[in-house]
Formats: sequence, structure tokens, C-alpha cells
Amino acid sequence: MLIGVVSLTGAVATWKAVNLGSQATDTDRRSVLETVIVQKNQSKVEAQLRSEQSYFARSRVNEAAADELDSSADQARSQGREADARSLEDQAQVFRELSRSLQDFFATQYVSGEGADARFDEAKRQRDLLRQDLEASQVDPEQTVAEANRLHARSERFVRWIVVFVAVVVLLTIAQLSKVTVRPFLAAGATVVYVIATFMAFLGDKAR
Amino acid sequence: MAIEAVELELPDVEELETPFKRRVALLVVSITLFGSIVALLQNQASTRQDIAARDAQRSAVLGLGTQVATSARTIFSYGVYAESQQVERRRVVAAGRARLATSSPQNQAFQAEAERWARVKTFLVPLSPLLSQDPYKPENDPAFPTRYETDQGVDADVATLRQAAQGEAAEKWGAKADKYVAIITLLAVVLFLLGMSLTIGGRVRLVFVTPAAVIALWCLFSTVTLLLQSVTATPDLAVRRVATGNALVAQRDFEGAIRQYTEAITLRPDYAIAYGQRADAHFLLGSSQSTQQFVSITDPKALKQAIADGETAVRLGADSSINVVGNLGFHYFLDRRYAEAERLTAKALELNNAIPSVWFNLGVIKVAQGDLDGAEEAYRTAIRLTSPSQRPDESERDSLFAAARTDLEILALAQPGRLDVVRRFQGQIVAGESEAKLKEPTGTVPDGISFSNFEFAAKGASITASYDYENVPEGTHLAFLWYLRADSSTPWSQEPVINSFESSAVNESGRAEITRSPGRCPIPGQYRLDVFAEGRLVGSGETEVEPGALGLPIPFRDELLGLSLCRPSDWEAEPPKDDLVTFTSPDGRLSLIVGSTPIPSSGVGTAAPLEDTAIAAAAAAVTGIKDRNPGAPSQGFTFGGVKGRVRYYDASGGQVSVAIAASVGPDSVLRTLAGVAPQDRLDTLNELLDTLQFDVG
Repeated sequence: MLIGVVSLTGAVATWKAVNLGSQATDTDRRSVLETVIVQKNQSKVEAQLRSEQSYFARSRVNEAAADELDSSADQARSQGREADARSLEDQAQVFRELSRSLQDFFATQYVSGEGADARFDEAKRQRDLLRQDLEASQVDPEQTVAEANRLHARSERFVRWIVVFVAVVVLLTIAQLSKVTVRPFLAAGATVVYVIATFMAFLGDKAR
Repeated sequence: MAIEAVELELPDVEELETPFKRRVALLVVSITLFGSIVALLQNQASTRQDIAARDAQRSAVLGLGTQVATSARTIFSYGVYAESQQVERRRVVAAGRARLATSSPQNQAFQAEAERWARVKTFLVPLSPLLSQDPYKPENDPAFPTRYETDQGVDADVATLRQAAQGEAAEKWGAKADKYVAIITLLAVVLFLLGMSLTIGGRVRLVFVTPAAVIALWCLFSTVTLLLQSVTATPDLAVRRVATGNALVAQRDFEGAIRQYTEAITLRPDYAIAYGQRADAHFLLGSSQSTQQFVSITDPKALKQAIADGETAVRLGADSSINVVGNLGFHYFLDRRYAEAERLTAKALELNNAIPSVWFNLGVIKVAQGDLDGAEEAYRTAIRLTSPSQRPDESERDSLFAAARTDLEILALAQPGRLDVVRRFQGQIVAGESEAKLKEPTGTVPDGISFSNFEFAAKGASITASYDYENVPEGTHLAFLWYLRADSSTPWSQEPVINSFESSAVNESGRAEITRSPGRCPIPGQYRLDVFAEGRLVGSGETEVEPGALGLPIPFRDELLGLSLCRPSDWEAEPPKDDLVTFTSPDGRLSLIVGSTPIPSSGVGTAAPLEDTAIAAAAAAVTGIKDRNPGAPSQGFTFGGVKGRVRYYDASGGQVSVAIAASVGPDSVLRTLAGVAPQDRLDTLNELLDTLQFDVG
């Protein structure tokens, strides 16, 4: 009867190990899927960020050229070269228009500073773009991997205790085959091991 | 009437609790326990396999994502650099005009414009590492922007290598798990045999018990052996070392790459990929062909090192890498171990039989072993796989064919008696290449066709061959193939970039010439020109080009100024200042200053011809020189591919000559040069001038 009880406990432990292993496999798959989601978002964000930076850079060059042309116009005017000054101002206006037209292609709210001293906050823009994707912002592949590893470890742990239950069955079988005088001690020892193993296997798992 | 009770006699039944049965019962439970332990080990191995496979999948995804991000970043950086070059060009143009218009009211306007564009450029510098970080700047990277691109690519390469390492671990854990399953199955057989032994009596039981015991012992031994076999995890640092090594190979820093691979091997002594990559790095380090796409020649020491590392890589499990196996096969060929070469090359073809370079390798190995039919078949397959439909990149096709011919030259050096066979198969390759280029099948060789009386002349980076030809009908497929080697002890290397293929459009006999530049700069050494007609060698000539006054010059190119030349390796090239670039000899006695400036349509405010103005302006900037022919007009002079004017000056009492030239081309660009040299070293300056070339629109 003891062997039957131990065998039944071992079967429950086996079921638990298989169940946890299956959950671990599902979690593994989910971690890969989440990695795809996150990387997809990061790649999209990187491409958009560099595109915006590129337009900002061109806009800034045009703005800087406009500033310099205005400065040269002032200099020409101070030297009495009115025609040159007007020509330079006309050119400055063209460059400013070019600069403004490019501002439709990047997020101006991330630009700090004025004119040619403007700076584009790349880090903040990247963070905000990453957050825009709701699906990607709600998953954490590293956490999922850690969860999968925990489930794998729990499953392995139950398999180890199954071996202990088999050892208890071996001990009980030896007890059955032994002399009558030794039998109770072997059976008692096996029972103690079984109780401790059951406690450690199931309650120890709950504690994790 | 009473029924008599029947006395039933039960037959004798054997006792249930016999010593044999007790022993078998103990064996069964022991084996069951052992089986459960093996099942535990199998479960652990299987779990490790699942985890490694999952991590490999994630690494693949991460690698792809990293590569996309890297590409976006690199393209942006290069775009900013290109933008800055436009700004810089505008500054240079303005500065050049300011220099020309020194005595004109426009001088101030040009100067202000130059300063303006200089300030504009400073806004761009922080945006691109190609402008802000010294190692990546064009003056510090001979293969600009390779260093930046390859350094950026390291992270993506790390992800790929990590995926390979994790995949390898998954495979090894999976193999272990499968072996444990096999052991469990055998233990089930043992239990079956023990069960059978209980159903029979006497010594016959041993027929079942003995094999059961043997199998059980074998299972025990196998389990212990498997348990002791560890599956090596690849440290992340080792992966990064290999990725860094790969980047250094791309930057042609082969010694640095070898150091990185060696560190990776120290971290993981059985890292097959590191050994395979180090083998390639050794080979390239010892090669003079490292700029070619397919490298066939290396020095003996490098070959030995490459073979040793390649063999280790294969032994450690890289035998499914076509790169490792194929390269090792070719290295065996170079080491004249033809049987092993063929074995490994055949193995490479088992892995992938659609790679033309491997078929070319097999061809030359077959020739080396005298299997001419096999060689012809291999070359036929290789040529078919090198067709434009299979290999759309023309430069790759050219390199493949050239490398195949070089391999045959290597064989000719090793086995001089097989020269006729070598020429035969070179002809087969030429015929195949010719058909692809000229899009016509090869015809029959015309009777009496010959190319002879070759004469060679080298000037600057070019070499010209003139020759007599006889009996060449119109439409004959001709191939002019150039070979180069340092000296007679090294094999001829076929140079794909200077080959030419044509369908003859000439009369049947005469004298002609052909000029080619094997590189941007003169390359001293031995040259050979082979002429093939319809795939058969019909003429050949050789010459030797001695190092000139420039020694082994280095190519120089300035994209902004649109000029290139070959400077001696010990000459200093100062960073360009505005529209001028200066080269000076180590002793400072020779120098060359070259410039290029677009001229505004409104002119620079002078009435005199601009070329003379430019010459005068340059002469005024040099102190202590005296016009050799004052009052005389300047002379016509061609330099760098442009026609202009020149004046000659003397300095240091006539011991130093100064030449100042200027040219205004139809593209409205003023090109100038000033050369200074002592009288006894004018040949060096003239050779330098011979290599000067302007980009003429």
C-alpha cells in the first residue's frame, strides 16, 4: 500500500513537472514574440529618428547660411555698398525659406535654442517615439525570459524529486524482500524519506 | 442420497519467493531507479536545449534589429558628412577666388564668403562621427569610411555570433538528450529481458539475464561518459572579440584581428569559429593580393598557420561551414597535399554545390592530380555558375575568373612540366568569360593567327604593350590578360581590372598597342600580357618595370579639389589648405603644390589672361626666385590631363628649379601647380607630375 501511495505521489509530481515544462515552453515562445515586437519598434524608431535628424541638419545649415548672409549684408551696408547688401539680404531670405520648408519634416518641439544655435534633442525624441507603440511599450522580453527560466527551473526541480520517490519505492521493495526483523526499520526509513520529499517537493515549490 | 465430497488435489506450485526472483526483483527496482536518474539527466539536457534554442532565436531577432538601427545611423552620419563636404567645397572655392583676386575689390567679398562657409561647417561637425572623431576622419582612414562602418557593425555581428554560439549549444544539448533517450530505451529492453527470465526455469534463464546485465552495464558506462562530457558555453566577451576581429579584417588590420581571435580562443579554447576566422586572417596577412576579392597567394609561413587553424576549426566542429572547409581544401592545394585538398573540396560541395569558387578550386586540384577529364567537368560547372544570370555582379565574375587563372599559375610554378595543361585550362576559362562578356559563343581559332614582337613601355601608373598581329579576321574574340608578380619566385597573379575582351574590328595584320593602369600608382615588378583568340593562347610577352624615382608610391586623392596623384611613401602630404594641397620630400628640398578653383563667370577682376595672372600670383608668393625668361610669354604645358601655360624660375643661384603652371579649362576651373626641385632631382618631380590627374568634367 505504501508503494502505491508513493507511486501515486510520483505520478502527481510527474504531472506537475510536465505542466510546468509546458508553461515554460509557452513562455519561451512568448519571449521570442515579444523580442520581435520590441525590435520591430526600435528599428522603426531608429529609421524615423535619423530621418528627422537629417532634415533638421539641413534646416540648420540653411538657417546658419541665412544668418551669415544677413551679417555680411550689414557689413556691406556699413561700407556703403547698398546694392551688395540688398543682394545678400535677398539670398538670406531664400535660405530662411528653405530652412522653414524643411521644418515640416521633423518634430520642432524637440528643438531647443534659436536659429543657427538650435539643437535637436535626439534622446528625448527617441524615448517618446518608442513609447508611441502601445504594444511594444507593454511588453518586456527580458522579464518574460526570466519567467520562462523560473518555470524551467521549477519543472526540473520536480523531476529531481521524482527520482527521490523512485528511490523510496526501491527502499520499500527492498524492505518487502528483506528479513522480517529488518523490514520495519527499512519501511519506517522509507516512509520518513517519502514524507520529507513530499513536503519539500510540493510545499517548497509553492514557496517560490 | 448424499453426494460424496470430491477431494481436489492441487498440483504442486513452485514457491513464489525464490532467491532468483528476489534478486531479479532487486535488479528491476535498481534499474528502474537508474532509469529515473537517466530520465532526470535527459530532462535537464532537453531543458538546456530549449533554453539555448530560445536564446538563439532571440539573438537572431536582436541581430536583425541592431543591423537596421546601425544602417540608419551610418547612413545618417554619411549624409551629414556629404552635406559638410558641399559646404567645405563652397568655402574652398571662395578662398581660392579670394587668393586670385588679391588686388581686386572682390577680394573682401570672397574672403567673407569663405569665412561664412567655414562657420556653417562647424554646426555640422558634432552631428557625425566622420567629422568629429579623429579615427574616422578621411585623413586617418585610408579606406574611408570603412573604419566607421565596420566599427558600427560590430554589435550586429555580436548578435549573429551569439546566435551561432547558442545554436551550437542547443545542438549539443539536444544530442545529449537524444542519447539519454536511447539509454532509457535500452533500459526498457533490460527490464523486458529480466521479466522474460522470470517465466522460465533452469540455466536457460541465463540466456536472458546475461545480455540484460551486459546492456545494463553498457548503459551505466554510457551515462557516466555522457555526464562527464560538458557542453561549453561561449563567454560573451569571446563573441565580442571575434566580432571585433571581423571588423579589423574588413579594415585590413590583419595583425589586430589575429590578436582579437587569439583572445577569443583563450576565453574559449574550443571556439571553432574563432579558429576558422583566424585561419583566414593569417592567410590574408601573408598575401600581397589582399586588395583582391579572391585571394590565392600567400607566404609559406602564413599558409602553415592558416592550415593549422583550419584543421583545428574542422576538428572542433566547423566541418559544416563551407567557408572553413572550402578554404582549408584550397590551402591544402597550395601546400601540394592534393588528395586531402580534393577530399575537403568535395566535402564543401556536399554542403553547397552552387558556389563557383569551390568548383574552380576542384578544377585546379584535379589538374594537379592529372585527372584532366575531371578538371574539365569541374571548370565547365564553375563557368556555368559564374554566368551573369547566376552572378549578376560583374566585378565578382571578373575576380572569380582571374583568381581561377591565378590558381593555375600557382600550379605551373609548382609543376613546371604541366605548363601546356595549365594553358589549356586557362583557355577554357577565357573562352567561358569571353562568351559571357561578348555574348557570343566561342568560335574556331583562325589558322595562322599570331601575336608577337611585344614591346612594353611604362609611364606613370600606366603600362603600354605594342605588338604585331597576323591573320586576325574581323570578329575574332580576343582577350588581353595581364599578369603581375614581384619576382620569379612568386606565382603570376592575374589582374582582373586591367583585362580586356573584344571582338576584333581590325584588318587582318598590323601593329597595335594597348595601355592599362594596374593601379592608381606605378607598381614595380614583372608584367606579362597573354593574348587569347577564341580561347586559345596565341601570343605572350613579358617585361619588368623597375621601381622609379618614386619607389613604391602611395595613391593620394582629394575629392574636393578633384585631383589624384602618387606620392612617395616617405613624402609628407599636408592637409589641404583652402584650394591647395602641398607635398614635400623628407629633406624639404622637393615640393609640389597643386590647386583647383572654379572661376566665377564675372571673372576675378583682372584684365590679363587668367592663367598668366595665376602664375604671377603664385610666383609672387614664393620668395627668392628669378624668372628664367623675363618678358617672354609663358609656354604651353600639359599637366594632369589639362592644357595650360608654364613659366620656369631659378632659385639658390640656379641650383633649384621652380616651375609654375596654370590651366583654365572649358569647365571654368583654374588648375595650378608649383613644383620645386634641385637640378639633380628633377626626374623625381617629373615622375610625380606624370602621375597627377585632374577630374575633368
